[in-house]
Amino acid sequence: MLRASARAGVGAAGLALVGCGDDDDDDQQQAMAQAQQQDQDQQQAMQDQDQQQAMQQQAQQQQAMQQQDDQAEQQAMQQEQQEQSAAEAQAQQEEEQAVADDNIDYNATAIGAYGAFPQILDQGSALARGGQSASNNYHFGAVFPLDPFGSAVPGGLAEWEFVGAEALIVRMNEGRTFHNGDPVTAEDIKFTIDRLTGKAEYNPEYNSAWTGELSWTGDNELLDENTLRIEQGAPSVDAANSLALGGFPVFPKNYLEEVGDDGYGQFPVATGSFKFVEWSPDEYIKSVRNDDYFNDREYAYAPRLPYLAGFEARLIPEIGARVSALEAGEVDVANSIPPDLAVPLGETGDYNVFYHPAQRGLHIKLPMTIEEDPYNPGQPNPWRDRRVRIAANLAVDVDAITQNIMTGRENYTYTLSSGQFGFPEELPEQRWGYDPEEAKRLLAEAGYEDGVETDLIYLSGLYTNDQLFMEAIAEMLREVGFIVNLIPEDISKFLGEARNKELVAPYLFPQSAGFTSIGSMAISVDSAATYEHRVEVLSDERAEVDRLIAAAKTEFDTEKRRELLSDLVRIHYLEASWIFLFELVQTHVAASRLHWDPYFLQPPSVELWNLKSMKT
Amino acid sequence: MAAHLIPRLLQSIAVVFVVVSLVFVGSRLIGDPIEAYAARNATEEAIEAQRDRLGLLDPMIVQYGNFLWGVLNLDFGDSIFSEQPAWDEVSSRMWATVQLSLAAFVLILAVGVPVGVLAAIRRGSIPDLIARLFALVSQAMPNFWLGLVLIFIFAVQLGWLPTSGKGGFENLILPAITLAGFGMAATMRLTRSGMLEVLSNDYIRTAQAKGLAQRTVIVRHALRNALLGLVTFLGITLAQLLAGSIIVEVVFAWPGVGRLIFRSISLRDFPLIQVGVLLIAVWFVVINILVDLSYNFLDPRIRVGSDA
Amino acid sequence: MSGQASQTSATLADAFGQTSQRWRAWSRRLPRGWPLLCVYLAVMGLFLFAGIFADWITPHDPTKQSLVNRLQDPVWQAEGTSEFFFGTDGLGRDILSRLIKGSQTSLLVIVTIIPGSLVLGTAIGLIAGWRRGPFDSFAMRLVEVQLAFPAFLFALLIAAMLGPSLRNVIVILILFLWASYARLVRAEVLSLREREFVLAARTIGASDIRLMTRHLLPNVVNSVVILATLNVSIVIIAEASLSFLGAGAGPETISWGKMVAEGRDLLKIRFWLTGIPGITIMIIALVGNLLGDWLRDYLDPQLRNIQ
Repeated sequence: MLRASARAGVGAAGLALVGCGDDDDDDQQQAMAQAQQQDQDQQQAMQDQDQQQAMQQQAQQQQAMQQQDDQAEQQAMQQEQQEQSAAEAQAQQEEEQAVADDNIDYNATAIGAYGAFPQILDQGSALARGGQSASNNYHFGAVFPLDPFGSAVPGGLAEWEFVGAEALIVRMNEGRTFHNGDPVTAEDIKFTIDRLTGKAEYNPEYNSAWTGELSWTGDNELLDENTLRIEQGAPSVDAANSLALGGFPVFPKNYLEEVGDDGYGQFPVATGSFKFVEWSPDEYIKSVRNDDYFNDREYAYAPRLPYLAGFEARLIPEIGARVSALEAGEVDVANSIPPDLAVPLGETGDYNVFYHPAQRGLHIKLPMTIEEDPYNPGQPNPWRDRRVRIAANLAVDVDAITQNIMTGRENYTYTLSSGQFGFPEELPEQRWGYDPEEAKRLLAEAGYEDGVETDLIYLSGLYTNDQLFMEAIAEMLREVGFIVNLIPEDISKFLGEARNKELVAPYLFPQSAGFTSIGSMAISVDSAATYEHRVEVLSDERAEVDRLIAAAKTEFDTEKRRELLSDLVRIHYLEASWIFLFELVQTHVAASRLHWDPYFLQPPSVELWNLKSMKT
Repeated sequence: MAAHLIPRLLQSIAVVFVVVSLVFVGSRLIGDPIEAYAARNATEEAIEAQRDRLGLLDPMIVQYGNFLWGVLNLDFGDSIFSEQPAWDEVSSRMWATVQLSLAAFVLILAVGVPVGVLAAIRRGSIPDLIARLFALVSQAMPNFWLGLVLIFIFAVQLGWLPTSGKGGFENLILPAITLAGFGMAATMRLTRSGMLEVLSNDYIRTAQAKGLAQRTVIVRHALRNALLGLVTFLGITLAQLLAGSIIVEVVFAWPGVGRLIFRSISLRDFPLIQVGVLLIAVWFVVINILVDLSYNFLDPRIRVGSDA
Repeated sequence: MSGQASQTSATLADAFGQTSQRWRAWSRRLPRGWPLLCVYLAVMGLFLFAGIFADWITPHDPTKQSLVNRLQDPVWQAEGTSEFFFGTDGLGRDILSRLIKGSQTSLLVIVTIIPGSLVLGTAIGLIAGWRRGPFDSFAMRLVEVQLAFPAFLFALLIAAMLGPSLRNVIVILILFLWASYARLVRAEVLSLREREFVLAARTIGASDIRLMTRHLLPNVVNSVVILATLNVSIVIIAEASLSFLGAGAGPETISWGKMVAEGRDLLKIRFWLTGIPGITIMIIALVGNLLGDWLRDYLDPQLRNIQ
């Protein structure tokens, strides 16, 4: 458990469920860039992007509502603008590639070493998601492709059309097939959604990993053999995006009903850019390029036909052994290597180091719902005092941690995921900095001169260097007067305590900053949330936060929604509801023949289809 | 012989029964697989339904009864996470682990015993000194560390052997050495001290005085007696190689049963833990019976089964 | 070993020149192999001293972190400084200080686990081997249950239940190690009880207790001591291995085993992170074993006479 768990291949199905898990969850929706770069240029870029999104979503709305001609023109213009801007974003990149493309070896294969494997290969199942999903999510393809900003665009398997806030209409494109040659029909999409929302007749008890992402769906019906109408049970502008997420699995109805859930978990047939060949649990997963993949290499969006002819994932739990295998030439990519090891390897010039933001806003949740101090019965819970929470934030030198222990590329996090839902621009100026003296003063002012006793819980072994940075945080808290007992906890125990609301101590929570940003935020701060003891904003702000969440969930006007969420984030941050840390960046080391030019502006993972092997 | 064997077998079954029961209870004390199994936003009812489906809501005694009944019918249930039969999951990995354990055991026998005998005969010589130092050093190294060092030297620097994974014979060498390291050293030391003790006995001197060839004295008389003290140790070693291979399996990415049980404990995948431990326990008692039988063969002074 | 030892002592004696005569006479009264013994005792003394006085003698606070000073090279490297003699770890903590503090943990683990398991296992083994009958059957089945129960898995179950802590490690290792003593002692007693001297003692009416303590125990001490000395290294290494699996001592405890486990990722580029605690473990284990050997040679008159 603890540290070794991830290494020993404790894939931890559950990790996905708390939205955590090492390695690269391929939720490409996560590619939605985050803001809060202190860097001005990046700030600008972020705003552009948000504008992009806003425009696009507006466009969808308008299209759906079939508004008047002049508006339709405007919409067309916006669409055009959007495509232009997307193209611009890629222009430079592609120019650079142009020369190199001649050197690509289209017959090359590669082997990647992973620290964890899924127990089963069905990405729809809750048992297969989490950190380990990186090792086989490329078998699966979503309904729609993504642009470099991480927003869905029509195309790929199907086109879409919004019917106001009522429904999403999906129209299948011709000639798309599953790996086994069967055509992808509207019925398969229907089956996929039914299966993932527990409505499929063959097995309503299916343990789906995608219920959250599909929570907007209502009933669906086949209009004809090529058209599916999905009602929006809970109106959501993210409806189309949810069907475009990386790793979102479209299932072949006939095949799946034939082999059943457990058969499918052993031999997945899907629409991904790589075709599953065979696997040996805990050992390897072999795949070949899906040569029938419908998005060719010139396609404007992602994913596309891969460059590699084949790929083998190998399970090597020990970091040292992964690097050794890379150095011995047995594997071509060693995934999730700590920066202390990856950087020197990169400096030798024999290896390429790949960085990608894992888009996990790491933070420590504080047990504010409990009235009584669990360590001093009868006393009030110190975490309910805002001064104590601010002191904790002031005590932790996040920049020192990211600069020294991590890659130095991590962004400080003000909230779950900054970019996509209305980040208050003035917030960086109000950031809780590092000020241990002020922290001590605040603690004294709050009446805790003798310190605040507390446990600090984390799931060890999930993230690169997590043990290191948690020990550093514990020590920093001790410096200002917190009496911290650091506890690395076992996954199942942690999840059990969280689910049963028994976590009475602050704990590291790796909230996925992925797709359902509103959903994720709601889970974390909504007083109606069912999971874990919620970490809420107290006092007068409480009602306001609940109101904002409720309003944002149903607000279809993008601008207004951004404002609501912006207010929410501001209140949440200024109340110091969490100890805010940083957004994780993952590091991988690859043989020098492998090149990766990220397609996404903020790549959520090393996209396998985009990995090129150069001729030597 | 048979009169002795039958009660011995019954006792062994009892041992397996106790071990498996302990594991059954122990694994249920560590919590519930549903915590890791169910989706984050699963409702309370959905979670209860899952528990019900997996039979986790039944009283412990009923679950235990079902489990025992299953064992009698050679039905060990399905893994909660992979939904494959637990027996298949474990047995498909068992062979890898047994392979590794046997390879390590062969190394222990082939290196530990002869070197120990040699060191005893040439007591105080340079080879004795080297052998003892080697044994002391390899006994003092954690095997995950030894494994990583071996990988670094033989696979990365020299490029002679693969770093990890299961494949041909060459993949077996480094993990087997790592797994055998400690046992080899201990066997060498025990053989040496056992031999020294026996060699100092009067009957050896008598044998030598009788003019028997040195080789005969050593093999027929000394070694045989020295092995007697060693058999217990070797038996335990062989049995524990199987259970102790977790670390080596992790370091060398060896797809064995140790890692499977390790993960299953973390995820509370009860059926896998149970079958895994059951197989290890059976392996152990079988070896144990063989050890007892070998006493009979090696030391006629023990009149097995007829003692008061 | 003792051959070499007497050689060394002879050389040493020669160095004393004129006084050699008197020296030789005096040294004859010292135990055999005493110069090496002095070395062993010095190492063990240092270990004990470090363990007992750790809190006063560490050059730095072993828990004091300094992120800007992390991963400093040790003194023999080009960039090393004498401020951090063995360099610093991933959190900028002084490795020498942690090494000293860690000896406390190792000491604690050794002085609790080894006597605990030895006494328990030897007593059960003696009684079982001598009395035989139902107690023997019961004890041996208990041993089998224990041995058949994979120790690491057991440790993992406990850690999953109670969380990692040093106390759990100690309890687990005692429960794990007693059985090997019991089996060993029983096997020896089974062989001994048919021997002439035991039969003789029995015929003259010696009580069971007397037989076991006076006749059998001295004859099994040899094996037990060997096993116990082997266990010094086993115990330290088992603690390290449990740390490797995440079931070792908690994060607040500093131990050599944990230092080895924690530094292993950087083995290739910073060998000393695992090398220093690893070699320390090795030295203590080595000296423990050598001391055991010496003790056996000294205690066992039979062996003493062979050369």
